[in-house]
Parts: sequence; structure tokens; C-alpha cells
Amino acid sequence: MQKARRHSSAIVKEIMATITPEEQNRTDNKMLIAVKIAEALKSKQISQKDFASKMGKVPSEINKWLSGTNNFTLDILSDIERALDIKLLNTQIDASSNSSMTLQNGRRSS
Amino acid sequence: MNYFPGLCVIFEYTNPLIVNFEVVRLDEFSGSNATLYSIVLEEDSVEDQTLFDKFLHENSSLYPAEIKDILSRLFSITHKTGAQDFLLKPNEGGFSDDLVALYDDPKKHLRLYAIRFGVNVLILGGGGYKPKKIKALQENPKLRKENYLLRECAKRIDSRIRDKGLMLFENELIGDFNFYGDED
Repeated sequence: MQKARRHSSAIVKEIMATITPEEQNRTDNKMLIAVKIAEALKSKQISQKDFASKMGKVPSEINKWLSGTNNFTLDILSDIERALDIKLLNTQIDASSNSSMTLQNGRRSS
Repeated sequence: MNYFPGLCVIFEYTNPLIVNFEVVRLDEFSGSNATLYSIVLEEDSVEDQTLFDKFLHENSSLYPAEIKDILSRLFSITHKTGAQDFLLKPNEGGFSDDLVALYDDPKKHLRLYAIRFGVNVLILGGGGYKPKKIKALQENPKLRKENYLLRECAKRIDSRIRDKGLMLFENELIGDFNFYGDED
């Protein structure tokens, strides 16, 4: 059993070269958040319709969230976290950066 | 004048296009989460141009931002998420459940059709501009042509998978990728 012939495309390479790491990271995050929400709905056996109702949204809005194209606001992400009891935002302050903010002579320095 | 428009629809379903093609693996989109393929039609075999290459050539000047976004999403699918069903617009192929469209954003104009095999394999076809005023792809000749062509390819690929001439192994297809003649 053989694998398919590999095809390298000049136009794909040319366009991919114009995508900055920041742009790719934004797309990755939109799509990964959609996956996290979908996985939570599946594991908690919540239908999209029930989720929409819980969030006070129409089902088509949930569909858009799950399409991986939505630019979520911080407020919406916070609401989804509470509704599904999942973590989408890492707001934990790193212990190492915390320790660098020490009180010296009663003054906070960083 | 056509006095029997319904007959044309029946004719299309009973007399499918006969297409010869090869399925090729896209070098730029082979990742740990999914492998992407496209189709080289017999008529494009000399230039070795896939349906996806043609889609990019047709639309990259007119819709550069959307094309960039589509490639970026395909890269995420390949390396981060896999071809999850909810990331794709389903039911784009009439009787074929496997046909999906990549884009489902009301603000965007382009549609790219693909054949989905689970979360690991996506075979990219062509597509085009979808005017906002149309509801069904059949209302636009270009979208209709690209979609119906991919339906025919999907039928033959499906049939080969059923006959075990093509199999999914890890996140890739293995087997016979040439669809020349009417053996399927």
C-alpha cells in the first residue's frame, strides 16, 4: 500500500510566506477555543440549543463560536468559562514573576 | 425553450460527469493532526495543478485577505485541531455526507469545497465567490460547477474506500490514488 504522490505548490508557499506568526497564532487560538467549547459541550452532554439558551444567545451565534472564526471578547470568554466550568483564559499569575515584585523598605519594586 | 426544467435536474443526477483524476498529498499541509490532499484532473496533469491551486490562482488577487485567512485556517487544522466537523460547513454535497465547505462566516465571500474523511483527512477541491444574494450554490454557475465536480470525485473515492483500495492509516490515506477509467 503506497502513500499519495507529494505535491508542492508555489502559490501556496507564496501566500503562506505572507502570514505572520502573529496572524497564525490568532487563527490557531480562535480554532482551539472552538475545539475546547465543543469538547466541553460533548463531555457535559449539553446541546448547542441548550447552551445558547443558557448563554442568552440564538443558536446561530453558538454555531459561529464553534466555526473557529469568531473574535471573542474577554467578557464572552469569561461567561463561557462560568457556563461550562472550563478554563479558556490563563489568568494565573506566574510565581516567578510574582516573586520579582517584592516589598523593599516598605515600597513595592518590580 | 426548456418546457421541462425538472427533467434537467434528473438528467444531471443520472448522467454524472466522467472525470479522470489523481489524489495528491499537499506538502505544505501535512501535520500531526491532519493531512490535506487535493485533486489533479487529467486535463491539468501536464501543469500538475490541483483544484486547490486553481482556486488560489482564481481568487488570490481579488480576495487576498480571505485567501490568507483560508490558508491560515487550513494550517491550524493540519497542525492544531484536525478537521473537526464543527469547524466546517456540513451538507454541501446533496446526497454525499462527506462534502463540506471551509468557510461559514457571513462577512466572507469565498467558498472552498472539500471532502472530509473523519478528523484526519481533508481533500480540497475548488470553489469561488458566493454572492450574498444567493441562497443555494446551484444559483451560481461557478460554485455549481465546482461543487458538482467534487461530488463526482467524492463518489469515486468513497467507492474505492468501500472496496478497500484506499484506507486510512494513522492520519493519512494509503492505497491507489489514481482514478483513471471507469473501474469504480
